[in-house]
Amino acid sequence: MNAFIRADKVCKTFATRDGSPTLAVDHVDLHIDGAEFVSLLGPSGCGKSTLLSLVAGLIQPSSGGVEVGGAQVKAPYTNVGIVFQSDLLLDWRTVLGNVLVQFEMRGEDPRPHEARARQLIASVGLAGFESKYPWELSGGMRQRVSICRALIHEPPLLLMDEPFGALDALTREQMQVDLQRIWQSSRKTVIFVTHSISEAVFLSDRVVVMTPRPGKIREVMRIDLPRPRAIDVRDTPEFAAYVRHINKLFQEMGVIH
Amino acid sequence: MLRRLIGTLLLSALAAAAHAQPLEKVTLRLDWVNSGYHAIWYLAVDRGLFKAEGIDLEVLEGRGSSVVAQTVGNGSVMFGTSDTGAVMGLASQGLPIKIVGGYLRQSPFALIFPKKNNWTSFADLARGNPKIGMAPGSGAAVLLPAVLKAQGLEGKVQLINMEPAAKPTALLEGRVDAIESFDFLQVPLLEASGMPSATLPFAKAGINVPGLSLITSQDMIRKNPALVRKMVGLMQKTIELGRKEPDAAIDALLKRAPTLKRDVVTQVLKLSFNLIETDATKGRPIGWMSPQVMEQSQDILMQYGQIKTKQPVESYFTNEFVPGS
Amino acid sequence: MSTASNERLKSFLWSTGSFLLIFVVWDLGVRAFKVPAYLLPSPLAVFVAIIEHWRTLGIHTLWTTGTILAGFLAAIVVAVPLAMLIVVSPTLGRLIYPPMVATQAIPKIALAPLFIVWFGFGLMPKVAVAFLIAFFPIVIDTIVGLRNIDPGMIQLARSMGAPPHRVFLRLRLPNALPMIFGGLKVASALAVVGALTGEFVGSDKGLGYVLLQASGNLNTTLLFATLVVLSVVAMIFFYAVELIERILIPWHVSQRAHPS
Repeated sequence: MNAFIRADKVCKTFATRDGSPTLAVDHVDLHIDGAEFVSLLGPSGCGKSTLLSLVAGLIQPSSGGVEVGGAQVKAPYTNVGIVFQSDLLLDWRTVLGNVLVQFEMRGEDPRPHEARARQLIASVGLAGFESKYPWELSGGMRQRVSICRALIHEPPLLLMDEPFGALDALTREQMQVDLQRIWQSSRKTVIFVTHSISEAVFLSDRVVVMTPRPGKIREVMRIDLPRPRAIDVRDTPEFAAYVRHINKLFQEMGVIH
Repeated sequence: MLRRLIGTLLLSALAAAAHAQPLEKVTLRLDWVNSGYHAIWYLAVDRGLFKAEGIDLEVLEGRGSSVVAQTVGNGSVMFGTSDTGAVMGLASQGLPIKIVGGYLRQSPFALIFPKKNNWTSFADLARGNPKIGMAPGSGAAVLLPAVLKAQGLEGKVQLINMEPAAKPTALLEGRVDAIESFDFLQVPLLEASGMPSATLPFAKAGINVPGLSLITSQDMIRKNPALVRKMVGLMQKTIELGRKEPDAAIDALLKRAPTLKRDVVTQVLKLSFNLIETDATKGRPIGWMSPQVMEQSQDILMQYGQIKTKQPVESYFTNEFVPGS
Repeated sequence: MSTASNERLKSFLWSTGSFLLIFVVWDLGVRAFKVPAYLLPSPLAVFVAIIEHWRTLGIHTLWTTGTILAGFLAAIVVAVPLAMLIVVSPTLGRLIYPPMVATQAIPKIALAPLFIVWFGFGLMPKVAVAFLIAFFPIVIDTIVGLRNIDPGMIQLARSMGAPPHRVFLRLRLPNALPMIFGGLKVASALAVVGALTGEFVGSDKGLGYVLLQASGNLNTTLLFATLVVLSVVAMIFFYAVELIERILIPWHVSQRAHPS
């Protein structure tokens, strides 16, 4: 079966400051189908962000290969939207301008896309804020802009590295609900990095549980909860069972003791 | 009839040609910024002395004899007035300049001090270990060690270094007992600030290196000796005119430097006239430099390291362009 | 009256008041201690001198302003591209940086007389000194500003397909503007110092020349008058740069409305 994203025996070693090499990702095999929502879940330093960067082509594997859409990733893969934990919005652009930066960076004229950008901004609940500057927005609002920026060019793939990590708990929950809604309407492939078990279970079709460094895949779990998932799905026994299973895995790995 | 017409036409053509003759642009850089003694040049320009000899003279202000001499040497200005001692020192190092006419042929350098010090000769300084304010590198500061040695004052006075501009204030405030400087410059300033002053000229101590002289580059002497001769002659006329009409000269100066104080600069100008003639130049035209004095000056400057190797004294100056010599 | 303009009026009154206070104390001090004019003139005498010599001061102010502008603009034109070069090419940077820092250590006031002999009297040596003094803060702050970008932003730009030149022009450069302006503001003050130094050492035009003449003639009143005019010139220059900053980077932290 031809998966949309393939990682085959991917390893990544980094040289640390004192010269000794660190193995961040250890022989990871992963296949992801189109329109899947997959979470990479694990403790800090387990290599999940590294794996994401490898898929994005921002770094190259030390051995093994990464393919996206059938082609080897040797350079930054540009048909993608990326959302980092820090929103990285440009201070000198308005909300609208920041969303359209996606085209500006590609050297394309952003003007034909303006109408759709406004629609996208409205769809995340920021209608009326198009002319505001990032410093006039709250953290959650800024992150929403960042998500719009990642979606405006309609990429088939969305890479998100702990996008809600800097937000407060209530905003975070709201953003999870909103993300699910956005994803459902567009059905992109999403790779979502998190260290929150409940976040991973709530959002994903599959959860990839990773070991502490050097990062290997411990288990890939299918989450068979019906969609769309309302926020109170977290109170169901099925949800609790998934969470309990993952907790046990972490205990076995010594991550929680 | 026709001959007369042709004659008239020819004459008018010649006259027109003479008038159409463009003035020769000449630059002269003075030793320092505008001061009382510079007034003579401005009066001479205003009275058309230079124009009458076909010269359009641009008088520029300078920043010390050494810098002026160097800019004459590198050709960026055609003529300059600089202290003879400074010129000899630089010429001995190879700067291609020459003195073509002496101006203040008596050394202007002196120790200046409040009258109440009651010093009448250098010997009076031997008592009390007085403090002397000096600006290192200035013309007078260079010769001060020679003066002290000649008068047996080495080790008997304290030399305090300071910026040139700080000297008069230091004296007024009593921070030093005397300063070295141009006597005709400082006395009027100090008296205007309420301190009657007296001087001990270096010439009295036997250190009589001539003061300001007209200099030009060796290149100019080679290429345009006629102009050099004209300029020395004009300097003579300028000095004579200034001596005759000092107040008119001050008027000309104040036109260009309105911030100067009239009574101070008038006194400066008049005092400077005392330095034009010396015993050695009696009977000689203005501008003529005494070879004997120049020899003695070279000896003094060699003693104090300003000149390293003895040269024939003709390498520093020439009287060949002085009209009437 | 709105609170904002109320605040501005209050701060203006406060600064005027503090200046007035300084003048009063100064005047009383000079009178009480019978300080001679050649040491410290009274503020009234200084004010009178400014009026009396307004033409001289005016002409020379124009000259100094021209020199400052020439030196400052020359510094910008050389420093900013040089900084960009150093950031873009580390090898070139390693070549240029050390000699640049070494020349910075040389006090320009020592170089100024040399410039007179090389370039002659006139505009060149003054502008050269102003340029040399103003150059360094601009180049350093530009380098820091260009380097001071979140690496995540570079990664984002790369994943958006931006080629290196676009990353530089559309990301590094606008991001660096606040720091560049910091350097410009420092350089504006230094350009004034440089112009003045140059004028001291070799010019018959400009406020530095007037200062020299005044001090040589023990005309301390004129000296102070010139200093007053000079500080006004320096202030106007600095605030002009600030104004341009406010226009070019209205989005920067320093420009944002203060919470009332």
